[in-house]
Amino acid sequence: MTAARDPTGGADAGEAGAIQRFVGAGLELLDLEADAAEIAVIEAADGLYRPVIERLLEAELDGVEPEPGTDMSRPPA
Amino acid sequence: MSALLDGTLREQAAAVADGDADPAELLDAALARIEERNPGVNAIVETFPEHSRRMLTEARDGPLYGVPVAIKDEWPLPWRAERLGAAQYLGPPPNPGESGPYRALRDAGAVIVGIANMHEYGAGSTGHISAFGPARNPWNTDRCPGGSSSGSGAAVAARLVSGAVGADGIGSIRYPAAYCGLTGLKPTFGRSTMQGHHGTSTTTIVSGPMCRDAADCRLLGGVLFGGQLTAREPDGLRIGIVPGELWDDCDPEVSAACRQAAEALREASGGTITEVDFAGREHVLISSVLVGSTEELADTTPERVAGLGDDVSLVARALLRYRLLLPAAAISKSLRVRTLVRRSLAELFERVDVLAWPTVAAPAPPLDNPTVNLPSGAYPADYANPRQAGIANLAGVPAISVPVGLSSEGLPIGLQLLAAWGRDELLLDAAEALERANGRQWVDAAPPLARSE
Repeated sequence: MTAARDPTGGADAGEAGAIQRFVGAGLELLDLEADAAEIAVIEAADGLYRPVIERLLEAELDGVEPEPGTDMSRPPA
Repeated sequence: MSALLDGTLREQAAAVADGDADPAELLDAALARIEERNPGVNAIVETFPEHSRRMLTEARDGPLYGVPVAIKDEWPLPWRAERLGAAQYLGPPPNPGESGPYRALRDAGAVIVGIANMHEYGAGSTGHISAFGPARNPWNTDRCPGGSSSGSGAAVAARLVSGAVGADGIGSIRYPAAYCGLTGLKPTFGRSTMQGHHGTSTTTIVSGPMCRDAADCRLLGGVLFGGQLTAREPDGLRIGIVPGELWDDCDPEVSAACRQAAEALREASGGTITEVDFAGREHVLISSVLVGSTEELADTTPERVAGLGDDVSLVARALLRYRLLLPAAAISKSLRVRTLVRRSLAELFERVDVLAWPTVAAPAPPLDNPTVNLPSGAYPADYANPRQAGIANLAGVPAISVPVGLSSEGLPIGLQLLAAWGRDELLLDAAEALERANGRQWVDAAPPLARSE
C-alpha cells in the first residue's frame, strides 16, 4: 500500500467540510461532546484513514465471506 | 552479580541452578538496578519487593527458577490489577488475580520484579503516551521505545531484566523489539497463555516473550506456551520476499540492513530467496487496525468515553470517539480481507518457509514527534507501523523481530520473519541461525545506557 503523502489524502475544502459535519453530527447522535482539540485529532486521524477506508469499501470482495467460527490458530479449512 | 544481570535468561537460570548465584542476591541486584537505571527509561512503573521475595521463597524448581523478569501492565497479578498504562479504566475496574502469564512464570520458578510500562490502553506503537509517563528508548532516551509493550522492550534493552512478557495485538511486541534492538516473538494465535486478559473475545492479541536473543525467547516462550520449544538447525530455508512497499517504502538504511540479513540467513541455511506476494496486501494496514481496534467495541460505549477525564490523554479521548464513528461496512469488509489474506498465506506457506521484511519501516522516532520519514512521505509512526506488522495478527500466524543492525544515528533495525500457523519454533530456529551468521553482533550489542557499569 502506498500511503498518501498528504495527510488529508488530497481532500479539498469541500471534503474537509463534509468530514467536519460528519464528525460533528456523528458525535451529536451519540450524545457525545468533544472539545476543539479532540475534534482536531479526530479530523487528523480521519484525514489519514479515510482514503484507505474508502479503498477498502470499494474493493471487490464478493464471495470472500468471513470464515464461520474461525480458528485463528490454524490455517483456513 | 552485576555481570550476571547483564547475562541472558539462560545464563541467569544456569547460575542459580548450579549454585553459582544466590537467587535472593540476584533479586536484590535486579531491584537495585531498576532503582538506579529505571529513571532514565521509565520502563518499570511499579516494583513490589515483598511480593517478589515471596515469589522467590515459594518458587518451584522450574526452568526459570530464581530468575527476575518483568510483565507488561496488561496482566493481573494476585496483588495488583492491570492498569493498561491508563489513568482510568474504560468500564468497570478489573480485579487482581492469577493471569495465565503470572501462573506460567510462577510455575517456571521465575520472580516477577516489576510491572512494565505500556502505551495507554495498548493503543499505540510508540510508547510515548502512558499515564505513568512515556517509556524511553535505552539507545537514545529522546526516542520512542515502541509500543504498546514499551516498558517490556525498554527494560530488557536497558538490562534491568533479561526477559519480559509482552502482548501483541497489532504488532505490540515486535515494534518495541525492533526499536530497542531485541528479539520479540508474536506467537501463533492461541499458543501462548491469555488467561485473565481483559480482551476476552480477542482474535488478535497474544502474550509473548521479549528477550535479547532467540534462545531466551525460546525459553520464556516455552514457559508461556506450557511446553518446551525444540530447536533445530534450519536447512534449505525457503525465504519469501514480497516486493513493493513492505521493502521499498522504508528508510533506505532499514531496507539495506534487512536485505543483507535476509541474504545472510539464506546463505547460512543453504536456502533460497524468492519473490512472492499475497492477496489483500493493499488492505492489510486498515484491516488489521479495524479488526484489532474494534474487537472490544461493544465495551466502548459513548457513556464510558464521555466519562474519561483530562487525566486520559487527548489522543485517547479523541480516538475512542473516532472509533465510534467508523463505518460498519468497513469493519465488516475488513473481516473479508482477513479471509482473503489467510487463504493466500496458507497457499503461500506451501511454497516458502518464512516471509521476510522490515519489522518497522524506520528506526525509533522522536518522543516529542513520533513521525517517520519514508520515501512516500512523512507519517505518524502509528499509521505506518501496522502496514508492516498487522498481517500476523490479522491472519493468526507467528512472527518474530530480530535485530539486524544499527542506523547511522545508532538506532536498532529489526528484520521481521513470519511463518505458517504453529511454526513458531521455525522462526526461533531461523533467528538463531541469523544470530550465528552475524556473529551475535546485534543481539549482544548494548545501548549506551547499559554500558555504564
